[in-house]
Amino acid sequence: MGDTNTTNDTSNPIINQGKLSLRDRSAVFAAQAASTLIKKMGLGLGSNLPGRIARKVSPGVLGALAAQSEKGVLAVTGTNGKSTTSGILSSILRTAGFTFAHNKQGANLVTGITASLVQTASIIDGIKADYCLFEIDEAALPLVAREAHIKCVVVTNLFRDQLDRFGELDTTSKLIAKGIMQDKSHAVLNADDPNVAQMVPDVERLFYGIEQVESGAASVCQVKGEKADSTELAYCRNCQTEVVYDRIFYGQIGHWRCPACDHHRPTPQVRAFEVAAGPLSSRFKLALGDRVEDCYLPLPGLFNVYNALAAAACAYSQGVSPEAIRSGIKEYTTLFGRSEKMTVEGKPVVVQLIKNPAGATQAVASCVADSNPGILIAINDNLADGRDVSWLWDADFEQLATKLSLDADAKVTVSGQRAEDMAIRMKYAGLAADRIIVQPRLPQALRSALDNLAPGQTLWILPTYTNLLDLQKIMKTMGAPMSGT
Amino acid sequence: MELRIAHLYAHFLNIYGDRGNIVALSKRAMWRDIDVEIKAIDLKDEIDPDYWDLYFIGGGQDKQQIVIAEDLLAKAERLRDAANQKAVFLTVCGGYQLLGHYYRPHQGPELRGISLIDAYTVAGNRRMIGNVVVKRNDGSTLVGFENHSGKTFLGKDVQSLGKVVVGNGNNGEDKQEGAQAGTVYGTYLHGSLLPKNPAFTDNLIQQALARRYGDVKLRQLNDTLEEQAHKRALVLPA
Repeated sequence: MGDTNTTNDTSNPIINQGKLSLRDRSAVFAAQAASTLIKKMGLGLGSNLPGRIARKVSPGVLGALAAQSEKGVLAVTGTNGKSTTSGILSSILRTAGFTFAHNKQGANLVTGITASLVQTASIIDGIKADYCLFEIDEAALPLVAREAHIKCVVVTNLFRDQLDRFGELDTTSKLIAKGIMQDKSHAVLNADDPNVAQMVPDVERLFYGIEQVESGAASVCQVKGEKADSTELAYCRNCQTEVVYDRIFYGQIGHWRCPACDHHRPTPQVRAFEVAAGPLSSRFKLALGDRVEDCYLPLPGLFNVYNALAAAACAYSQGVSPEAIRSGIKEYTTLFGRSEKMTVEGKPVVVQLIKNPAGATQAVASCVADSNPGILIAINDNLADGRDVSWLWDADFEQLATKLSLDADAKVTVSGQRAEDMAIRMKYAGLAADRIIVQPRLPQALRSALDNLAPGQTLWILPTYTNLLDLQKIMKTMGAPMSGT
Repeated sequence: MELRIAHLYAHFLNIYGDRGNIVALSKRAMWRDIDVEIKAIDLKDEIDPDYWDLYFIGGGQDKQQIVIAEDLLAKAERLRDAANQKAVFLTVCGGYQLLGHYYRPHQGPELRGISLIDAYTVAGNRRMIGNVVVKRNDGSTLVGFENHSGKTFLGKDVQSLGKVVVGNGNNGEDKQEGAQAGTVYGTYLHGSLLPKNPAFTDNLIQQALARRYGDVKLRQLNDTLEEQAHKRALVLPA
């Protein structure tokens, strides 16, 4: 499987294979010097400055470094699950004995990816690794593809995200397709998302999908010929008719088909079945071609099973063994804020980033699956969070309000710059106002949520992106053990 | 008592949290023991203008706007009948634009509206995105979030909802936001609009009920959280 070899590097203006030029080396040197300085001055991580400096010195440095990886660049893009999917993929590649450069800090725009690459490069040799593994923002994919040859692009899903940033879902889809078409990368696509599965028919494609979920999973509804009750509309690529579903897993994700022509969900080569998605972990059978592996995934929720499938499919396309894929999934250590389980002051805490209706609905479903959850929701409206918070009204917080209303003592703490918006969201979802604690300041909100926790109760924290960054700092000062981000 | 809400094109025009407006209308009615019926009215569905008290049309993506515009023209006569019977219309963003005379894109043919509001919209060159505060004539405020590139200009038969204090409003030029013609309302504010503007919401409910029940006095609710959120929105950066 896999090695497509459709490379046509001469068509790409900036790509420069082989040894690093003096200019690229100077770029690496300048960026690393800047990076050391930034750390010394305590300006913190996450700065794109080294990337910007490197690109100033040598505009082709990203392509040059990426071209040094022996086996090429693997890219992960899509609305939800980029970080987790590339995290699981890195765990699989590590288990399989490969070396790779990875922008695991999550800086996924062109400068951020450049920054992460120049910081792992050596000034003499540049990148010495089997792969480059990039999580790439949807809008940045075509820009990265113009500079670096991408061997394989994994697309997770397409949900409506920050409309203030992209405008529309159609726009996002076109950007991703453009990135894939630049070098006709191999595409690893979600068969169950009609907006993803129908992309780029002209390149070599590998599909992954869920065949069937064990009964009892809260988020599954079985339907015949229904339209999805979802924000995302999906149309048949051939005849523009809205697709219908024989089975919906969540949102617009499921077994879709066109009611007008015979176009339908492609049969995935990488498939999960007998999926049991629990509140803290999941089990499923993973079929890779005709091999079947019993998988354990230390992450909650069906959406994470999709992330594991996406990573498995990409690894499979690279010829990684089924055993390595299975144990890479099992050994995955959570990223901070992506369903991470930890202990704070002796109390169990799970942090799950939320940023759009589909992801938030799934995160809330995970909390609701817990028998007696403590809840802290923190909403900011900075650029990185999305400035428009109307998406809160499209996410299903009703299931949480219903669950908490059953318990006379259950309360929810809301925080962040838009704590008040979240408070009324919970009120209109059906939770009595006196059960909603409004504390815009995150440290205080965390303090009170922890103090109100009953013995044995888990605190579920659902923060938007910049709240997540703050939370990480706050928890560090509280001495909570942090896994790598 | 019963409040009957027709949610037009719920399946298509559902971005920007339009659901929040329907939730706010129905919850605030139900908290006062008023029954609520909500029906999603789709493309090609018939409308009974004698039946519904309140019509809601939200915003969508450009791709859907063309299909909707066509269908809305087919429904125009009945909707006009409903408006003449003093049914309330709340329309947001794309829905608002289609209630005017036309929408003129950069390229291609004009989209005809149904002229329930004396206004027209032309495609603009920049997207107007951000928090908005509107000061109304009675001194009250409306808060929300706008995200549009269409510029809407009002004719002389219609009033705006108020003056923009923060943000762009109808067109980013004349400092006006939204439109009101009798019981027909249009606005660019979402975010969602109604949950954070409870007085405005109650006023809509009252007008909708007046159609069949006359002057209805609504019981005062405890709006502490709503008022907090409104107050906070007044000081958000644009």
